[in-house]
Amino acid sequence: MKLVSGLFRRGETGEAFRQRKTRVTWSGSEAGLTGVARLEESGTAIRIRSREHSLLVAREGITHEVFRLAVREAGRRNGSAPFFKATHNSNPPRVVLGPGPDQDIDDIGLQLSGLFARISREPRHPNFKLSVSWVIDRRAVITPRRAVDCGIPARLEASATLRWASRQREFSYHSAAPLGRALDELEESLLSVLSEEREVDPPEGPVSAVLTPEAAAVFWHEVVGHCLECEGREVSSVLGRVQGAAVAAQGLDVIAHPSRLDLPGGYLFDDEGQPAQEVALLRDGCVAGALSGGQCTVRESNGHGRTSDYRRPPHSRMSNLVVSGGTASPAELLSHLGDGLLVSSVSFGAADPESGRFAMLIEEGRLVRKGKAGARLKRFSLTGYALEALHNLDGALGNDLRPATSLSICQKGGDAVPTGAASPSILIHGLTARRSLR
Amino acid sequence: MTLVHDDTLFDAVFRAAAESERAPMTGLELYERRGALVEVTEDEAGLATAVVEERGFALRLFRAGRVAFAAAGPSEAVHLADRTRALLPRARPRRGFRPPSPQPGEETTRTPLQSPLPESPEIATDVIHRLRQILASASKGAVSLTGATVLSGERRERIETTSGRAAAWNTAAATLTATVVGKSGGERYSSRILGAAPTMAEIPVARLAHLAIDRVLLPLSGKPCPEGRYDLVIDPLVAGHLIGRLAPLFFGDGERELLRTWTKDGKEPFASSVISLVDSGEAPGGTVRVVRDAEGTPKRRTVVVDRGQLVGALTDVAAAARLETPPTGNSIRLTWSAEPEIGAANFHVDPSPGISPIDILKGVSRGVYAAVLLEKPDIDPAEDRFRIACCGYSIEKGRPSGKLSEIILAGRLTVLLRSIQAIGDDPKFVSIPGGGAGSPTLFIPKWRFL
Repeated sequence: MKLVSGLFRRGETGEAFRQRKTRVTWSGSEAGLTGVARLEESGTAIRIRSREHSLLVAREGITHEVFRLAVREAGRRNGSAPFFKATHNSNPPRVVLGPGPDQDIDDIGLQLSGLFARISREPRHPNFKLSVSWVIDRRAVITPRRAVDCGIPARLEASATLRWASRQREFSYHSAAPLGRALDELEESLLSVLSEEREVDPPEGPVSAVLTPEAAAVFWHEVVGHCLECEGREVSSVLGRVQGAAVAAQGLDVIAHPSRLDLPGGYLFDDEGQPAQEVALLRDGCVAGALSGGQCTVRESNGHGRTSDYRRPPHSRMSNLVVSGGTASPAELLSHLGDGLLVSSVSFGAADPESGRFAMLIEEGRLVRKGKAGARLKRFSLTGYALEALHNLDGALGNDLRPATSLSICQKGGDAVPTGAASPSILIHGLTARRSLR
Repeated sequence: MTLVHDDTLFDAVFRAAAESERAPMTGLELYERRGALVEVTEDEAGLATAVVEERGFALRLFRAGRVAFAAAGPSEAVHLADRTRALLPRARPRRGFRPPSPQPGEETTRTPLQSPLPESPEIATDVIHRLRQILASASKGAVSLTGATVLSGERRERIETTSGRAAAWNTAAATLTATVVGKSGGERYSSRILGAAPTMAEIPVARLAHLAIDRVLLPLSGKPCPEGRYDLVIDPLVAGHLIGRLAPLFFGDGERELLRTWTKDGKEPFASSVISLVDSGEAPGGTVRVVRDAEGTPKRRTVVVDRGQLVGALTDVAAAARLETPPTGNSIRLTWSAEPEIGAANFHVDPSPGISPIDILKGVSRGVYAAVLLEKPDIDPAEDRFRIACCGYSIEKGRPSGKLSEIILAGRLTVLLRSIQAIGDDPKFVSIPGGGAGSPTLFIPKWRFL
């Protein structure tokens, strides 16, 4: 810690960051498991921040020597503190990156071979490309005051393209659940995708829709989460500009919950060494807070400084969003909807925080007539504006609050971080539906 | 294994892996990359500089068509052979997979790699200042830059295989990413633009600034495109994204069946006779400059569509073996730790039969100029459909006559490609994963707008 603290001059802060990542990926198709790849990567970053500038120096490896070299390089580039010397005598702090969950890689491979075989034997004879990764990402932060292990997030990630009976479907799965349960859930989700039902074109134009917990998770992520990530000196977004205003129905709470380790975005400390904190983004329908990390100059960090890896500087990013549950059953929500759409799977979402415009690509949805879910719909997109969508959100929330498994890696500015969400079903009016080509 | 000297680590890992793989039908490929990059970001939080040095090794083990892949940094590299061998029994044989061999006349190089030095961050700061200045003056203050990142990197790569290939080469790349916000009539619209070039000095800053202005102001100030049939002129940067989405159709042998269906077994052309599609490592204005691909194969200019007719494919070693052709040098590694896959370097429409875009515009009496993409092109090759949302200008008698906030181009992809009547001589490139895609201005007469 002395080595790190000695690096900073008056008005400067920062930390050292160490990461060790193991990723084993199995890929295959209807022909079976065809490839296996294993990645072991580790790195050290030294970060220095002041009000006007920041510096990151990153090097491959987590040995003491790499640490010293990185500190020395950072000191050289930043113009070191007057008495700072990164000598061999100044030993780096002993933060041991915690061991990953003890999983037998070969055993996972065996289980996946069975999974590939069972999907190939499906009566619908799908052609598919499936890739499944077991990721263990260990991180530690050394600040001038303490050295912390950020937690041991291990997760299962899967993505697939399935083709059957002239249909194509993109699939993704992401879970921080124990491996055995995650593999079972993955298989169940994959098989449920394959359907022989006839698909019809969705209506185009303004629609009302019930979003199941899986789909609602993407909605909250794009509409509330991204709009309340603090960038630099302001939360420059449609929601950031109306802090304290009532934007949705009373009783609605949207909480950023990084310490929920059962969700894929969980951690104990963020990538700047701040303890994970619960932050209310919407409280009783009002904008109540924002997510901030160390680079945010107008707010204290609330433990949301995150980075995709040691080579990238941290930014204020989402972790897990948890939405308050309601009392309406899914059937009651459909009945309340009357005519509209039921959306159960979203493969892609995007938002422009500045204008609040968002879009979701719907992989699985159904037409709803007189409160009954009917024909399955072809792929389509739903778009809207954040403030309008929140205003048009029905006050009745579902009683089926559960974690989403299709929300996975969030890409923003080239940085990919795992995120999670738990939401009940919701009903929104005034979205715009548009047919998609695939 | 004992710790080996830095420079000799590659040889030590290769020897250790090769010694245990002497059985028939076996082989291996060891790859090393050393990279240095500097990234400068200027946004509301101030100036952020990142200097990254990296080094990684990747080993592919081949045994009777089975392949296993493992990657690790220098500290873990000594375990690569054991880890790869442990993965191999779980892999299934795949046709064509073998270690890359040298091509006739190919030289072998076995020199240790030196780590490149990161470029000076000051050059990157200058690029951002230039962008800010051009945005302010050209938009008269209506468009502001909220953040910009310039990234410049150099990497040195080395490969050796048990089939006799030993090669080393260098590549460089630079990108500029900027977020701009446009304000007009009380409304705001933000957009992100990306430009890429082999070096920071070659980033087309002025062009990107004008693109950014159009991208945020046109949706706020124009009118939607009216229905009807008009001549269509597509800007190179819009066409580039469309061409980039076509590139995967030519990756190896995966989509041969689909291409045969499109061309009715060669009875119909793939595109009009002014279109030739080419992939090249050194296209002028291209986003990357490469001399060898990720398997060490010398990169060559490959024509996949010649004057509208299908003539070839982009291949790595495995796909080339399946197609029984020499590899075209189209293997890419998105990172050192990623398995090689087929990709394009600078995939583009050959501009050699092109004419000046001014002459193309002069010939348009009533038409639409699709200037800026609003979202990623939606393309379904299997269904032969496409949809592109963009904005641009209406054209009357060869001159812009009004702004269009939304232009939807949709229909059959083959019809679009076969209807192109003229191309410009102004190719421009956009980024696609692992490389770039480019096109000159495209002219399509009497396109139906819905």
